[in-house]
Amino acid sequence: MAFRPTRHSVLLFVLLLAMAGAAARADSLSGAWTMTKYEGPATHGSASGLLLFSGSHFSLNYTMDEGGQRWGRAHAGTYDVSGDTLTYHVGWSMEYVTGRPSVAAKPADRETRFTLAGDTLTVKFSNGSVQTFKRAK
Amino acid sequence: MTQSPLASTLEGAWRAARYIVKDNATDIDGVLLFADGHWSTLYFVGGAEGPWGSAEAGTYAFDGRMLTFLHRLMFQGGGGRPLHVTQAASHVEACPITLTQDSLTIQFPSGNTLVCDRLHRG
Repeated sequence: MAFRPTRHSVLLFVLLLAMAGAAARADSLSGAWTMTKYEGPATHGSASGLLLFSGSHFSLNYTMDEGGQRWGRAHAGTYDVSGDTLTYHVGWSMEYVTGRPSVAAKPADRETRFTLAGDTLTVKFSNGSVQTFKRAK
Repeated sequence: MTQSPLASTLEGAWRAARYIVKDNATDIDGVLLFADGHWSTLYFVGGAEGPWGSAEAGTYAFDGRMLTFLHRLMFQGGGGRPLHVTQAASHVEACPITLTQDSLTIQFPSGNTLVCDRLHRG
């Protein structure tokens, strides 16, 4: 019996193709990344951290120096990828920046744009922050 | 980082369910991830002055029985506790573990025990 594509079967095919593409992009992020640079809205000096993607979950821990003091941020939750958009669905969040601690398990979404060039991952946040990572060996 | 085949059984995301100190379970809420020979955790513990949190990360080794955490980054604060941040921790914790498909129990050298449930793909 000859297969005759219908509008529905074409739409389903396109949808499956898009889902496969998103999964492939998410898989390309999978693994461990070491933070090499952090550029915030304010200058934060040197930074160090680790970003993990495993399954559909992520964890980002980093510390940075500012004004002779070392501060930190940590976030974890799930993530998804669509095109060049990486969305963090933050489930756990802790910040201690300029003397103000914040510890919260309140859900929040953080939409970012990312580029992946070889072993370098660059993540840009809507507030202007840019985080650069190298794949951890 | 070179990874043993055994590590693939640990890889993924785990939710911290119970932290047991001297037979007393402490409320804890957090996550523990293993990926490509690296680990990272973020967990919150309730306290009289609000929750305090701990974020820790580093590399690990696993031989099927012992899980060895090599600490590198540590960041703790909140709940009235002083800020503690280091990017150059170097201590090592060798921990016997019990691992099933959906459960991970870690016995720390301190005598404390962490029980985790596997987090599946969201």
